[in-house]
Amino acid sequence: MRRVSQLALFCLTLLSALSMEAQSVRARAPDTFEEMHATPTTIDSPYWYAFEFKLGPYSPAGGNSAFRDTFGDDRGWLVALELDFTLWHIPYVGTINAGAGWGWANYDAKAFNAAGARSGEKTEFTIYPLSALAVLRVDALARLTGVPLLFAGKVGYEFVRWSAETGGKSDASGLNKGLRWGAQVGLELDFFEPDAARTLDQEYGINHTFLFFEFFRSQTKATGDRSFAIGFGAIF
Amino acid sequence: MPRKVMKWLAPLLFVLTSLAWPAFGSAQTTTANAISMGLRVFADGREFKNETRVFVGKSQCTSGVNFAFTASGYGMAVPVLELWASSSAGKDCSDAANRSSPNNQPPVCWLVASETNVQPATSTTLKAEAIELFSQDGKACDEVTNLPYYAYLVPLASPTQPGTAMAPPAITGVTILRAVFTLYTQTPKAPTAVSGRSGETTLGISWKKASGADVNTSYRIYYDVGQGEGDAGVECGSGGLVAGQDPKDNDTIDYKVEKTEGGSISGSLVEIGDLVAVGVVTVDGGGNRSALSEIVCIEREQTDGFYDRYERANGNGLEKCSLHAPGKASWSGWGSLTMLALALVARRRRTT
Repeated sequence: MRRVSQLALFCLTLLSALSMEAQSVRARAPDTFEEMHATPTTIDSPYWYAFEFKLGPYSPAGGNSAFRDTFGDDRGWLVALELDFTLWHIPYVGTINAGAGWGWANYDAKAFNAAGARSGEKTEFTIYPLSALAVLRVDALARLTGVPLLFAGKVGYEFVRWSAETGGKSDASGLNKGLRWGAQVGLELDFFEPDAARTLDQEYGINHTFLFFEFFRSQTKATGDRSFAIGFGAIF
Repeated sequence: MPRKVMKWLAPLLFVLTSLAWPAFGSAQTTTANAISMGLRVFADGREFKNETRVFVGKSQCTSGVNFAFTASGYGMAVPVLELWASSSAGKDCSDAANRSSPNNQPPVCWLVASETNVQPATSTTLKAEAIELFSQDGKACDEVTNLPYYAYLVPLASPTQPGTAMAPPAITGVTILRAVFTLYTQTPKAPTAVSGRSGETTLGISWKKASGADVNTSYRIYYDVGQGEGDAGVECGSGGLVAGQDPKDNDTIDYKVEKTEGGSISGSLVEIGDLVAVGVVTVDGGGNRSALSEIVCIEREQTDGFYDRYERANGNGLEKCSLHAPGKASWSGWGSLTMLALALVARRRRTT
């Protein structure tokens, strides 16, 4: 392991030296076609945040059959946002982040009358999942090999604020808590338009954008589910 | 950062300003060398809030309601201010040709009233009966329906003489004011397919709009909760509602106004188990009313929402609490989130 570190240090030193040499070469006027059209050195701006917008099906377990009896197969749409803050950049791996998520999903159906038939009144169940997460983002493939794939693993605690109402009148509301974890694979979009991606970074500090698929599980009692989401993200 | 914001903001402001400029131009009648005039329209003393959309019902059209057009302006005196009317947007009374009588034919527009020597910084009122405004084209108030009529206040250097082959042109630089009237002279039709939905907190009513309804149509839901012999055709209500008759507005029958197809009445108005007779009346933009639609009976009944069923099924997964009752709520989660956010902000400040 120590040998690997030493080798890595040597390579870095060598790369730095070569890079400095290249800079000094560019200090003079270009005198060949290749020099004139050499790709300019680009440096990523520092990044500290990741933002995600995602949506997917979500159906709370409910705790008993009432949810299924009332809302049937309503899988809602769970719309969610997540903001991660980078705590540590791990060389050649990625970043460790602290994240906070917020979501919303609503389920509605006609309430039942005394005979057990559907009445004209609407009954609703709304959830607002809030999560505090530790997020490992692995971008080594994209950074070191050019393969535009990103990976992320998330684990944390979730607080689900919920409310139930019928006919516009609140029946109950509350807060459920539990573990939440997820795994994500993302496709970095920089390779579609590398120049535009660079401009986005230089002008606005958005280093990378990506589309992703995330599988996750919320283990909050009665409001949890195992589902997936697709979304768009940005690292800045 | 401010430079980046400005980079976005400047073109955005430019685009917004460009888009908004025509709107400003049309709303504001003052220009550097023009006389500005404003118009207010009254009917029997009641002012219409928007003179570009004045709705007139059959009763107003036929009963000789008095309209008043009050123009106020500043800049310079106007020798003559004439009120002209027409029944089509294509007959623009600001065009002298439409006020002219070539070969002694009646002009396309008709002259309703006039006022001379209109002074600046004063209000001038020209009055006209509805019949003068709307019936000069040979159509009586009960023949036309949903038709637009236009009234123009035209500033002139000299009064128009009847039978003039070429009417005098309007004074240039002075705003020609125009009011648009929509006449509703037909009795609207009652809504169809009225149906009710029982409920505990709300009783739902839906219907289909009748032909002829437009964006200015509204509906009145009449409901009757009495314990009498029942309204005509149904075994509920107290007898106050009769399908096909206008219930009018009175103290015994309540109503609720809706703008769209379908509506509801509050369940708290009646007891659980009560039957309510419900019918709907169409009211068009001019205030004309249809007869009462068919009547339906709706029962206020106990309903089971999701949470009622959840509790009955011995649900214990949902942890009930209320943000309005903090004693029952668990604040540890919210506290953790707040602490995390503060820690992130603090770290970010240290690193920048």
